[in-house]
Amino acid sequence: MRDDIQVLLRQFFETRLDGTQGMITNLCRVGTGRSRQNWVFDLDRGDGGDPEPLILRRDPDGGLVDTDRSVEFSVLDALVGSRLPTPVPRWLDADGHWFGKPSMIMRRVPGTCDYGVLNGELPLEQRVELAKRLCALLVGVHAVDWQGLGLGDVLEDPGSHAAAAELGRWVQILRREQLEPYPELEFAIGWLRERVPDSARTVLVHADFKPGNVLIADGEITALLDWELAHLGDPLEDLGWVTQPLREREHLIAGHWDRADLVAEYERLTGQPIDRQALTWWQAYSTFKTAVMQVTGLRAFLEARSHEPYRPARRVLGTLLRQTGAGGE
Amino acid sequence: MHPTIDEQLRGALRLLELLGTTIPVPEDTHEVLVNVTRLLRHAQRAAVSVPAFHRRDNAELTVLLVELGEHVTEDAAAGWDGGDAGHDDDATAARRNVQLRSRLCRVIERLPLDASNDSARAVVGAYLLRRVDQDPV
Repeated sequence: MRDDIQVLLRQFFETRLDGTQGMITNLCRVGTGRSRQNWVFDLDRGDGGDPEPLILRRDPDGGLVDTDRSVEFSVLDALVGSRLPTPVPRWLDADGHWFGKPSMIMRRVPGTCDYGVLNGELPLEQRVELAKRLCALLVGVHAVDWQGLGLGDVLEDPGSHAAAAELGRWVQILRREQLEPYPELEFAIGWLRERVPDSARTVLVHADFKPGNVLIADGEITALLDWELAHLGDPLEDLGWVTQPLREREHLIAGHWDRADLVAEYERLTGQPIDRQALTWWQAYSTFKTAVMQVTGLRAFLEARSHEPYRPARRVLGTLLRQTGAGGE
Repeated sequence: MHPTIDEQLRGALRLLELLGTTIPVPEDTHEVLVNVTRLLRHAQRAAVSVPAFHRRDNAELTVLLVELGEHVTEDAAAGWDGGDAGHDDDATAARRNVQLRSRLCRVIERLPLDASNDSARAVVGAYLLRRVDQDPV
């Protein structure tokens, strides 16, 4: 695989570097990401300058969600003009012509990501401080002037109907991917449809905000990664995602940084109160979205497009049912 | 007759554990081994308990759907096959379970979304929670 990628990269850059042939060095596959295949390398153009540190991210066969690589590239390109720590996109292979599957090459940023960092080995004080910085980063995402950056030309603006739009999108995905009836999900859909909230404002939504998508170096956040699900919508979508019950271990520190602390900090930084009822809806929606992703993962596995044997998990379905009125909650 | 399905699955799991602990493999290969082991454990549990679960669930679903028939419009209840499922073989019980769950989906979709059906939704929700807790798959 490594030799194939070396060849593919060389062929790609032969057409991209204005006739010069850059040298690819230090090529190495990294991580075992469930949604992408990643290779790091340095590109030496032979012009006396420093080699450019890069990373190639290639779609796997059976990802949990189908997303448009060119949209992600455009979002990242627009965000270069913002104050957010985002990777600089350099080249796009939207249809996989060069690398076999849709791929993107970005400038590599120093740091590591650890989805369990908030409940890991760092001292408690550092972890709480990091949790606050992550909250501030999320506020920063939602503060992006998406209209000024031209993201309105790339992403659809759902206006005040963001919740209905997102729910509709994931119900459509469920209908397309499900192999059997799921009364548990139909029960949740009924509850969600009945209570869909209007949005107070439209922001750039990351849609997969988590420590596992953040690079940290020397205690500082160096990059927010994985913008493949980004879209315009309700900020409560992201807030619901990070406060949903399924992801407590990723986003909270029991007894020291609880759900209420995170929401209060978000309110303090934005100066705007959060509609708690709407937030409850978005938390239930987040669990529903997770369940649908597991349904798509199951289909991808059974059709041999993925090696991950996903299935709708007991914990996910049980949580979703409780959030949507089963059991008297 | 030996080896039974359960014995074959246990044997496969034992060999995989042996492979995982004695032969160094690349990280990608190790991940695949972990997934294979997980799948086989699921299959081992399912082979033993799923047929009985389907029969119990089919009986409970039948009662539930007949009860809900009083709360839904006629076209949702029409065509309902409430036949006796107690003597189904394993494959038939599995197929009947899908059929019944599909029927429940249609009933849920047609439950009016207002307070008059709170009791129906409560009954359905309680059943679904029980089923999720008991489902061996």
